[in-house]
Amino acid sequence: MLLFDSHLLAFAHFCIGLALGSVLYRSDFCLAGILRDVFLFRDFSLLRPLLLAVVLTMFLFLLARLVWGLPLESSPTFGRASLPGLVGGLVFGIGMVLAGGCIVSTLYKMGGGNLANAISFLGIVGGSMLYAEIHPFIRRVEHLSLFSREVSLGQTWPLAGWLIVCASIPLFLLWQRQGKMVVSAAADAYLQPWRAAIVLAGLNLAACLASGWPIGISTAYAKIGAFIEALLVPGHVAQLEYFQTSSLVVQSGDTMLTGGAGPRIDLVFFSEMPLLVGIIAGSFLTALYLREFRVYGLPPTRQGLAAFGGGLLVALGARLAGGCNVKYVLGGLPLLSYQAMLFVGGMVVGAWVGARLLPIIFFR
Amino acid sequence: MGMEEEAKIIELNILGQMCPACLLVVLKEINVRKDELRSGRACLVIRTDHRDTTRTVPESARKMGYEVEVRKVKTYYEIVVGRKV
Repeated sequence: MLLFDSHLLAFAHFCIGLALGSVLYRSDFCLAGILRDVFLFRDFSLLRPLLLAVVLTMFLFLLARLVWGLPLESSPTFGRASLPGLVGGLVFGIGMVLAGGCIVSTLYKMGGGNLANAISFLGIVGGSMLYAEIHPFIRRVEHLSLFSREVSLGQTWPLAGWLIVCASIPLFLLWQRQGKMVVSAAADAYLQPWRAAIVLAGLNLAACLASGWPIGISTAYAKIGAFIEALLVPGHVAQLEYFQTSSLVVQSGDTMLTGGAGPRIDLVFFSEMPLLVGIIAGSFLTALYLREFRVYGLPPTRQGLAAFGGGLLVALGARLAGGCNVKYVLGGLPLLSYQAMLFVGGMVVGAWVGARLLPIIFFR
Repeated sequence: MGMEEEAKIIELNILGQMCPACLLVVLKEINVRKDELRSGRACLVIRTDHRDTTRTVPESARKMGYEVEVRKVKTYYEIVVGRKV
């Protein structure tokens, strides 16, 4: 792990972000779109590669525990399941459908030159700032509604992960034999989603080896919001509990490292921030290389409003749950985190609601 | 594909639009123009910068029985939806 050197940690996360941005751009593997299209168009084709990403990550995490002794089940970024996790997933699910992307897909689409996603980005930053105002109330609800004593099913039942991995192998082999893992697209240098899924799993393992926990990124948005707010109203920021507390506390040798959303140079600044910048840079450079980068102007008004409003909801949902779909779907589910299961359950319902709302917002 | 030469071209510019508005807008246009498209009197030329649209639009249009062709033009993609096969 690279926690002993913050600059090396930042460099590693930037490189992971670069690769992630490039892969996501080439495959257009939008985690928000995958779920939305199941409800909106009955399109299940990208759900299979997403399941592959989850199961393969689970396998790699189990292997990391065996080979390197990485105790990922007790990762510092995952907590006990609570009501805000479920409600956060629901709000996040509606938001990501309206915004046309989640926390990560907003970044790679924005890096490719789409202004609608740049509007979503502003919405997510704004929503994170709004959340800071209600944070003390939400944390009280969280403490009153803790569902589980353990953080993950893996802690309660260590063999569960291996069983799921083994049980899934025949399913993926069957899908592969039936040709259901391959999709047809005509975009230049298109990367098949199943290949993107493999890279995603590998990059998540790389993040774990660098920091000790799976990829997470939503706090970086809150940190950007905090830096902006601190420039405008520093006195108010100093009073907000959310910007003063640390959501991440890690022991590295004799040193206690902390990180949070506040306008400080801390662990989040050296991990999530370079990841965020790397994803934008990765997709931007890939779009340039493929001669596809171009800004086509603002989207129609209704789409712009949906993007901003959706962005606000995405941020509120992520902050309520203490993380976004990248953390909970690609990191939490492979670790069998109870909070991840609640979040994903809420997000699926939210995506269904969002898919119902979208045609009304766009066309009526 | 020779259909462009004989058929009226209906242009649909969705450059810069957000996902999934691209597919929704295209499906709506195909539905509105279905008589012209089915008979071969017209073909729909969609301009998009959204890479996933090169997967979703051809897939949906082919399921409806239309001929589809995709080509890259400068920085964007042109998807031509033509007569029923």
